[in-house]
Order: sequence, then structure tokens, then C-alpha cells
Amino acid sequence: MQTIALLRAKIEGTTFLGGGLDRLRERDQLWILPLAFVGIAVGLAAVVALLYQNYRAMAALGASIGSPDLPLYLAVVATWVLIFVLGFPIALSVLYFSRDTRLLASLPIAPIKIVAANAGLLYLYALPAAILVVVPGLVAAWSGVSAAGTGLLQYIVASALTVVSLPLVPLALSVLAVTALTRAVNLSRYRTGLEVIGMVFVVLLLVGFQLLLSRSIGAGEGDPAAVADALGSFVVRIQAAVPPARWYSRAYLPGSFSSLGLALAISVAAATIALVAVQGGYLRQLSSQEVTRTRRRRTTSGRFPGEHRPVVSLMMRELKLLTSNSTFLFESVGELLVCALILVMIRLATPPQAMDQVMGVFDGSDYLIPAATALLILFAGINSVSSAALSREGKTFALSLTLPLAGSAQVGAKVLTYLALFGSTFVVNSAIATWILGTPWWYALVISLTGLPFVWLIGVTTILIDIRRPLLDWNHPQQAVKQNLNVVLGMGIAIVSLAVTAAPAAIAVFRGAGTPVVLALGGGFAFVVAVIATRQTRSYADRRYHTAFDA
Amino acid sequence: MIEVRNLVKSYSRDGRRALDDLSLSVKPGELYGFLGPNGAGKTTTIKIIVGLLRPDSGSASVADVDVLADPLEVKRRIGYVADEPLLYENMSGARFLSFIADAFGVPGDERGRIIELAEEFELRDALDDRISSYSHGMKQKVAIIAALLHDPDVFILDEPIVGLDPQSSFLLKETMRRQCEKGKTVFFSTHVMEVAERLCDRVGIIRHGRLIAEGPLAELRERAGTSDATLESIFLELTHADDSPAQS
Repeated sequence: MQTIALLRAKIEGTTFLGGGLDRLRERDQLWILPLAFVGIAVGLAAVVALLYQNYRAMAALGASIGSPDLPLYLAVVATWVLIFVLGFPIALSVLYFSRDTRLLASLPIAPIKIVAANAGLLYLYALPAAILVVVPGLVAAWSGVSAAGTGLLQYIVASALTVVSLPLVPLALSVLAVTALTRAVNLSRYRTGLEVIGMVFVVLLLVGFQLLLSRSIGAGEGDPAAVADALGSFVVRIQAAVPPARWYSRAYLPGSFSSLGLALAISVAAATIALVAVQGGYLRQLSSQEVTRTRRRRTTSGRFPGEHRPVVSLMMRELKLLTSNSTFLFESVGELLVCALILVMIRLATPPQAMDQVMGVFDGSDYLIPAATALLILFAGINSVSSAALSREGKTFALSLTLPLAGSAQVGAKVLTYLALFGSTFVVNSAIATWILGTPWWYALVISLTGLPFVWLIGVTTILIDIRRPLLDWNHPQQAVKQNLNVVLGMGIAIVSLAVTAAPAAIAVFRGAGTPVVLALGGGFAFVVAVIATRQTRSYADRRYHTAFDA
Repeated sequence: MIEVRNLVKSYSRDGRRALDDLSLSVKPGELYGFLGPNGAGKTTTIKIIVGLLRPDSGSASVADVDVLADPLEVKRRIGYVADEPLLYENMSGARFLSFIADAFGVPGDERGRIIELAEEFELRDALDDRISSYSHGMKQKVAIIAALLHDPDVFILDEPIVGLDPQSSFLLKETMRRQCEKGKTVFFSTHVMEVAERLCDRVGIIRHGRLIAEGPLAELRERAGTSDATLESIFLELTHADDSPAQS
């Protein structure tokens, strides 16, 4: 069988493109497509705009220090990092956990063809990500490289070859890394752990890059010439750090087009090495996975989890569901940490003088603390943990319906789990915000007391949305979160809940009330609304569970 | 113990009925086999009895408790094994069974049953492993143990034999029998005629959502006009006698 035919079969048999449209049509859910398209387009447009602004800033910086290809270099590195990190879990799934793995291993197809078809699928997954990240960089760099004398033809040819070949190196690296790890450790047991490694890696990379950049800027001590010097040496250092990326970016400079040849050669070489290395022993690896699945079991420890009240057991069940696969885990951990991460990054990346200037603007203002509180509430409230609380159960939701526990008890446990996670995170974030703003420590207490009722209210209302119409019929966890309209609605509900409930406090601000009055009014009103919303939600949950969701 | 009266349920908009005025009754201590071809309405009936589905009309009750009026009380009295085991695959077998024990309020001093049942079903050594690593048969065993943990009055099983090895299958049949001897009610659906023939006090045969025959095997043989007919031949005769689908 030809590799292309195998790739086509994989696309038809294991991806949304094969039958996904038909399934939507059968369920009368084609309306989801334009909605999803608009959602994705808006999201992508925002990402592209953000990237383009960053690349423009880098282009200006590059022009000022004689490196017009700086945004191209960064675009190549950013693409590689993104694809390497995304490639980690995807390579793991496609190569070792795909639905057709057993089938293909049982057929008389050479391992190299199976691996090549899998690699083709990985490439198709990675190419859009490469286009998304690198094209804004190409556009932003054009004015700088054209001013340096690069012709349009060279620019277009180099751009096309760059985009097409860019996924090869990071994909090869992630495939090799995944393969090495799968041969070293028990895949079934550590699969999620392997996927988490990629996430941790990218976070460390981002923090490290921000630290390097801020220290380079800080080295200038406010003197523009010294700042430019420090940045110049910083740019030279980072460009020397990844030579193949430098080969790509140099190809856009006049007279250096040939360096693209080096870049292409290393890309093709990396892909070839990965293919050859993975296919050797590929079937043996799949076979050892089968052995792992059917291995002789160890004797049980004899220690059993203790007796718990149903609500505690249900909360532990919720945590198990959140960690039951990498999609749920990444989503929830990301949502829990994103605010703290951004705050810490701001603190690390902003020079003290700049921070003092910013704080000077707000000095004595009545808006700072309420605005900071509102922002922290939104960071905690906009999450998929609450708005997909029932959807996450998927087909096992039927088990919940067979339990002799009322809907209010089951949903109550979901609310408590959400509060335990996001309430505690909100308190921590309040402390970090207080540290960044340089305000007294008890401000953290005030922000926490004011914000927690809002966080509670948003959690309850978004869970209510999911009780109304949970998305339970999913096969892949991504569908429960990414294709769940309740998650999108939940985001809107979070914003509307905050706006409506905080209205009395906002009016008080505009009437010149002091910060303590504003916060007490906001928090107090939100508390009352949250209590009412919780009662209503519990009562609604009892009715819904009682009627088996009118299944 | 189980009373089903005039159940009607349709899934499709064209009004075709999955259950069409179905009525049946199972007495305490009785082992009742529910037979029928694929798509006949067995699983739909079971799902309504255990409170997973609401009927369009009609009623179902367990131990005189109406399923629609007090589903929680019904669930407390039932042990249910679904056709596809309903399990949290990310949990270990022990953790899952403890969760079920918590949900059903099984007191701490009665939790030794987990070990007893696990040993009985030869699952003890696997209890610390994640359920996702279990074979289909092992998952089925966990589901059976989970259903028996709270010592239910009514044991309802949907195609329980599928996927079990001969030893476990024998054990399950023994367990079902023992439940009946203790005065409990067992209601199960199956395709395996030999099991129904050897095990059941009474069988009901459903086709196109209607109960087309019900009674002890001897009575069905009498109806078929032969004293040596197997349940399989009776079943085939009855289910092919009328090929027109039931309509509303």
C-alpha cells in the first residue's frame, strides 16, 4: 500500500474530516460550523494581531541595531517552539495511541510506511500552526528587509520555502523525543506526565526569555544609547543560540539567499533521521504496549480508600475527572495558573522605574483596587472547569444518574470543587497582585473578601448553563471543552454576571464613594446574589436529575 | 417487586415506538430473563426501570416505589449493571468501588464486602490498577461488584454475560441464583438462550417493543405445542412469526 493512500485512509478514519460533517448533518448540528468558524476566526485574528504587533516592535528594534531579519528569526524560533511543544502530545497520540494503531500493526504494511503516513498526518496538523505564527513575522519584516535591498522575488520564494519546510525540524525533534521516552518508560502509566513536560518546557522558556529581555533593557539604566547597546548584544547572543533559525532568517537579506539551502537541508535531514529512527523498532514498541496492557498484575496493597461522606467522595470524583486526561488537565491547570503567570511575568519583565511610573498614575485613585479586583475576578471566572462541569462526565454521566444522590448533592459537589480550586487561586492571585502593586498586605484580604462572592456567583451560573444542556456525547475530551457551546456561553455569562452584579459598586465609584464603601457594596451584593443563584441552581439540578434529563 | 405498566417510548420524530404499551411484572425472589432480538427494546425497558430514561407514557415501579415519583429511592434499592460498564477509567478499581460505596452510603464496617466480592470474582490482585488497564471482562466484573456492594433488593443486568470468561460467567450465574435464594429479585436481559433456559424462573420475550410471550419455560413449550422444544427454537419461532414492525 502506498504511503499516500495510507495517509488518506488515516485522515478518513481517525480525524474529524472523515465523517465529522456527516455526523453533524445526521444530528442536525450543521449550525455549529458557522458559529465555530466565527469563533475560531475571531480567536485567530486576535492572535495574529498580537503577534504582528510584537513582530513590528522587533522589526523596529532590529532596524535600530542593524538586524532587519530579527523578526524573522524570532518568528522561526517561535514556530519551532510552538510546534515542538504541541507536537509532543500530538505525536504521542498519532504514533502510539491512534485508534488505528492495532489495525495497522496487524496488516502487512512496512513500518516505514506506517510511520511515514503518521508523519504526514503530523505535518498536516503542524502546517496551519506554522502559517499562523510565521506569516505575521514575514509581513512585519518586509519593510525592514526591503529597505536593506532584498528583492520581492527573493522574499516570496524564501517565504514559500520557509513556510513549507518550517514544521519539519520541530516535528522531527518532538517525534524523536516522544519515541525515546516511550522506549524508556511505561507509556500507559506516564502518558499524561509526558504531555505535561511539554507544557512546563514552554512556560519555562517564556519566563526565561522575558527575564533575559528585561535584564537586557534594565542594563541600560534608562540611557537610550546604553539600552540600544545592551539590546544589540542581546540580539546577537540569541541569534547565535539557534544557528538553523539564523540560516532561515539570513535568507531574507540581500546576497544571503543561499543560507536557505542550509536551512532546508537540515530540515530534510532532521525529518529523514526521525523517520528512520522511529520506524526501527516501531512495531516492537507497539507490541510492548500490548504486553503492558495485558501484563500480570501486581498483588493489591490491601489498603482501601477510607469511608467518606458522599459530598467528599463526589468532590474527589470531580478531581479525578479533571485529571483523567491531558486535555482536561491542561485546560484546568492553565486556567488556574494563567493569571498568576501573567502577574509574575509583568513583575519580572517590568523595570522598577517603569513600575513606579505606572503606579504614580494611579496614586491616590479610587479606581485602582476595584479595577484590579474586577480583573482578577474575570481571570478566575472565565474557565471551562465550571461551564463544562457536567459535560466533562461524558458517557459516564449515566453512572451519575444511577446513583441514589440528588441532583443538588451532585451539583453541590461540583460547585464546591470549583470554589476549592478557583477560590483558593483567587486568594493567591490577590496576594500576588498586592505584591506587584506595592500596596499593604491587607489589601489582599480586602480584594479576596470582595471578589470571592463574585467568583462563587460566576461558578454557579456557568454550571447552571451546563446543567441545562450538557454536551455528553463526545468521543474525544477535546470535544467536551473546545466544541462545547456552554464554555463559550460561560465566558459571556461570566462577563455579564460581573457587570450586572458590580453595577451598584460601579455607580458608587462614579458618585465618588470611597474604596471601602465600593468594595463592601460590590462584595455584599454579589454575596446575596450568589446565595440566591446557588439555591436556584440546586433546585433546578434536583429537577433535572430527577427527570433523568428528559433523556 | 418490579412492575411495568403500559410503557411507551419513542426515540424518533416519526413516532416509531421503541416500546409499545409494554407491561410486565417480576415477583420477589424471582429470576426473570428478558429476551429479544437486537433493537427489540430490552435496554430501553431496563433504562426506564433504573431511572436513566423517562417513558413517554406508562409507569414503572420497584418495590412499590414509582420510578418517576421517587427515583432516588428506587436507585437505592437497585443494583444495575449496564450493557457497557459505566466506570471512571482513570480511577483504580479500589477507588471506584469506594466511591460507589460512599454514594450508596455503605457503612465502613460493611466495606469488607469489596474484598470478599473482589476475591470471589478473582479481581483482588487488580484492584490497585487503573480501570483503563483492565480487559472488558475485568471491567464487567468491577461493574458487577459495584452493583452488589450495597446488597440491593433488585439486581438488574443488561447483557451481563457478554465478555466474561467461562469461570466468571459461571460465577455470575451462581451469584444471580444466590440473590434469588436470599429473596432478592434478579432481572436480566440476554441473547444467550442456554443461560436463560437453565437459570430463569420465568422469561419474557420482547419484539418491536411489545412483550410477545411470557412465562416459565414449561408454559412456553406448552404454547409452542411441543414438550421438548428448546428456548432457542421457541424464541426463533415467536420472533419470526410476525415480521411486521409494531406501529403506534
